[in-house]
Amino acid sequence: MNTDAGQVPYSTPSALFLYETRSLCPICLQSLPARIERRGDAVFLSRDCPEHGPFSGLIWKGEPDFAFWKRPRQDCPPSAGAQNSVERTNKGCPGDCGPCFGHTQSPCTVLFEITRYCNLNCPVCFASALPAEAGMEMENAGELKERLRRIRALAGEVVLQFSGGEPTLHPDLPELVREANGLFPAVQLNSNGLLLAEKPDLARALAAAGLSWVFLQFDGTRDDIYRRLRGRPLLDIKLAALRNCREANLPVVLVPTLAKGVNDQDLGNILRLGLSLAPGVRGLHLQPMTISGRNLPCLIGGENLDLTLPETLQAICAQSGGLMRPEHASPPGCEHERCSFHCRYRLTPTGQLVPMRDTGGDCCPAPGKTGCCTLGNAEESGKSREETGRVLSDRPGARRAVDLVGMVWSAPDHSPADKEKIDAFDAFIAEARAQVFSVTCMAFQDCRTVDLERLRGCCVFVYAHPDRLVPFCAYNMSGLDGRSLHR
Amino acid sequence: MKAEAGEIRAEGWTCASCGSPLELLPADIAYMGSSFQVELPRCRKCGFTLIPQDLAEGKMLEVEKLLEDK
Repeated sequence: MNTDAGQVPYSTPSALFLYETRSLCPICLQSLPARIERRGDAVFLSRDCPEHGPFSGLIWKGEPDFAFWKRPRQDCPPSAGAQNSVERTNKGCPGDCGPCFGHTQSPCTVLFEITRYCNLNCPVCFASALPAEAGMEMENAGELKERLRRIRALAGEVVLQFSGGEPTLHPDLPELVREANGLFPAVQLNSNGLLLAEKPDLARALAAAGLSWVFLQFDGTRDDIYRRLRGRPLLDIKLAALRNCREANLPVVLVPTLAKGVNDQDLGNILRLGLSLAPGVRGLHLQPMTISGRNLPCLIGGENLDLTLPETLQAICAQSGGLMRPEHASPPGCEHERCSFHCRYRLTPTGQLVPMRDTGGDCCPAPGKTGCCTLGNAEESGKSREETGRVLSDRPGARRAVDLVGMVWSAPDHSPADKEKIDAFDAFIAEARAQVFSVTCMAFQDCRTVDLERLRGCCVFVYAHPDRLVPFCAYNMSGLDGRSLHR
Repeated sequence: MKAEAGEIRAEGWTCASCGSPLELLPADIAYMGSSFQVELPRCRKCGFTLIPQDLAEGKMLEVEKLLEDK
């Protein structure tokens, strides 16, 4: 076993065993017992494959310390309808994903890949998209609308994300967005922005169809970053896409794919650019690179491009000029606690970022106590929400996540009908929605870092053939030899 | 938005504890480090405050969503 990016020699004497879990062999993807081990300020996921030998993958490094990054969370399994998409399990997690009855979290987001074609040919594409070409065949809108309705039936009220390939290549995208807008509380577009830059009418059509916001691939503020990650200079195109979205009143979240030594030192510049374009730009959503799909060969045997969740947080805070501090970040209450962090701010007229939660206290309850973020158990007690009279904080994690991103990333359109009767709540809502700016980070798992406990707590799903929901990281999982788990 | 400030009425409500009629009076509401001063039906004698259902499920819920953690 070589020591590729993110790995260290196996089981040094200083390794401190923390607990057991399950993982996969990074080569053949078979399920294995695994150990979480600490070495100094770094934490590793170690396992032994009978065929391919021992392997240790870095999963955490630095502050906040692994031991203290915790968030109490109640299991909230997917509905029976979603589970029924798997009739039986026979391969074991994660080979049977559908999700199965062993999954512990409901969907909050479902990706719908409406085309495999893409007008970029990124060296780092995890989806292994096909190059766009003249005469490329697209599925007809009627079939795709039917699948939207199936997703609604399987997943319930989730954020629906149009993805691909590059979804703007589909000529009927506005029509599909309009359909999705009637089915889901929020509709998100995952786009490289090329066509949004080229066609101002597209942004206007999508906004008119009810698109909630755009997740715009935005890796940095320099063209050398795009040459490395996307194969060509793209900064002017990204800025044109931002202009067109702004003119169409279409909110944008900047989504950098982060690679150590490539663009992790540009985080401060991306943050400042995003803030300068707020409130049209609603925030940053950072995605440290994983290895899967097409990016396998460009990383294996190459440099260490990995960034763990705490390293990413430290990097953006250090480059923020004092605007952000690590203690502003919270673990998620929806996906597994080690999958993401989020910071939510109010951007003041003077350009300061004020945390929108009280960081002076702990909003999470001690074990056995009731706190302001205690997940609801009204249903468990046999009483409806109406009967218990509880309104605040009794919504499950996935539902809260859907509500929150809807408030934070969609357009700030709160306007009380009668301005003469604005009260303190109205004023707060209007100000907060206009000024909110979020910095979030999602640390996806790959074959080196996959922890099946985390995977079972996943709330981001892909709608996959035939008619099932597969956790995002399982869907995109590739072994180091290129074999794929679900794609 | 279900509830507007102007729709909140104290008329017709009486305090279950002492029987006094409720009146629209200032109330301080605090949640996760933010505070809001609004007028709500209250009992001048006991201090009990009525939060109408529309307000709880409307503006207050929206405020909660903005303040609470993901």
